[in-house]
Amino acid sequence: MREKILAILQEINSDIDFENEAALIDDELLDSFSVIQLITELMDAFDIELDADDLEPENLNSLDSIVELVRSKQEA
Amino acid sequence: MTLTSPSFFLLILCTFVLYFLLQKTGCQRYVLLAASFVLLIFMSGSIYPAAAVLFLAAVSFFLGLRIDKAQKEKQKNKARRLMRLGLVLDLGLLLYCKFFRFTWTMLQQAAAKGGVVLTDLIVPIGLSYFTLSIAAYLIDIAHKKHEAETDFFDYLLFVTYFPSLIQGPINLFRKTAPQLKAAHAFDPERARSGIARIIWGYFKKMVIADRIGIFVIAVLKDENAVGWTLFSAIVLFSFQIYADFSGGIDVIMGISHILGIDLAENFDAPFMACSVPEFWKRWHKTLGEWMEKYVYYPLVLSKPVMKLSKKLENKYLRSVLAAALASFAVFILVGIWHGTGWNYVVYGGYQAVFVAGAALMGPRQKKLRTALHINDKALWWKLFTGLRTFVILVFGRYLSRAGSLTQAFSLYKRTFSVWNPGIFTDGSLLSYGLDKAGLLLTAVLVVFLLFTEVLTRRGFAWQETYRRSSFALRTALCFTGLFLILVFGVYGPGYDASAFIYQSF
Repeated sequence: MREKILAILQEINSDIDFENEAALIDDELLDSFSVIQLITELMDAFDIELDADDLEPENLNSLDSIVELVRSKQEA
Repeated sequence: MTLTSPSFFLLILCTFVLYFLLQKTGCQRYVLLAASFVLLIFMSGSIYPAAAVLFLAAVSFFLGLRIDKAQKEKQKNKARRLMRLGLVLDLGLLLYCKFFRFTWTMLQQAAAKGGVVLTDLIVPIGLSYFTLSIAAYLIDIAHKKHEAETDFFDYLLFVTYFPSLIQGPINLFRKTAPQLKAAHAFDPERARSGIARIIWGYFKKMVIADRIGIFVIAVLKDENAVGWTLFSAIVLFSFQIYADFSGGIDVIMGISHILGIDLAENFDAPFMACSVPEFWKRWHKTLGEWMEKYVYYPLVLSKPVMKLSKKLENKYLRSVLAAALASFAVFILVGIWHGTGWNYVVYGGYQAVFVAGAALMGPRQKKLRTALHINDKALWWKLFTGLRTFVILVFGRYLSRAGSLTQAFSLYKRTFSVWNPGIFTDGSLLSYGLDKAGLLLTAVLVVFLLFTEVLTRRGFAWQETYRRSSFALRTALCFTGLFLILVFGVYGPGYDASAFIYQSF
């Protein structure tokens, strides 16, 4: 799952070091269009439902937090 | 009462003294509440707006509790229904006041023709700011982001906190309410940096914005002003509105900082933006963040929009088209937030074209830059894209500065009707309220403002540097600022130096 999410992120922006970056939203590395791209890709790739409530910075700030978000949605 | 009137300074002074004297009594919130209602009544010139605010606060407080209760009892639909009711009442009041003010102005004009004088419609100050704070509060409770406030006075203070009533920022409950609840002792360090920020704010407003305002108003009043004269006025208006709005915010932040309450920053060097989307990340940040969180994301990720976008074959278009369309909705709302004339709607649409365009064309632009070997971190590229963004925004300012869409188009037409660069050397610019020294001073001030932006963009820590400076240097800076305001501030007859542009929103 982690590799798949990393690939999605790198497709959105290949200039960011997603393995080490921990403030993707707080430091505005991902803008609102990128966030929407990411969310729609995640929903397609993992067949999960995400809504605006999930778009909290703590859910999207790092690769690990995104993995955690997807995992929690799959388990729900 | 205005922001530069002795009564305002007296109010602030009394608030500070009482606030810190009563620190250990638990009554600080009542001092702030009293200050808020004095401001509401005296700035609006009537008791009715204060009564309307009190009513709205009471209704939304009650609804907040009910939404919270419904959520805790797992009655999700009931919570959503109550939230919607709250939003209709809250945003309904905002829209009613905005649209009715427009209608009222037309009624006034019609009545004036018949010799009947109708007084101005009285709208509570800060309405455009605290109604959005209330909306966010109700939405966040319904979405279980935080619990409802159980103390009415604490909630009332969150809604009416007096520095934010003047011209924002838009406060969010989670960030502001805990600070308002806490007791705050007098902190000399905070007082010093707060005073410095207040002086900087008044400097931007009274020395920079109001000086530019003399020229801008004179040019726009002159129906014979054309070509570069008009364009220069709108360019300067872009600096005026920034110095005015951010100056007002500096005064507000300074006052609040002394009180021990740090509000969200509203600006981050917007003139350094290299694209329109970046500009909107740096300009009026709290409004942008509110729109993004409470309109844009819910709209893009709503089921009907998602269903629609899934029908698209192209993977890239599928993910960005809905986002691009939603940005139109957001920016048209931003336009209407500024005013209800059609010029504001078109202003919003104009911004949306560039924001959506940047998202749709982003990957192609990147490929093109790579093919042309353009280093987007190079200074020349940043200067080029910064200037390009500024010019785009200046043309947008025609729409927000004009009184109507017709007037905006007339200004565009007059700007492009003549090529007259000679106005910069033949002295014709001197007939618009500023003499040679005044224009030179204006140019120097604009360059100075841009210089501060460059430093901010490069990460210069203004407050930290000020704090670390010696007492003598800090005192000298404050007195120099006051001296410059007294000497170069604009206090002309018939010119209301204290009316901040964004105060009227």
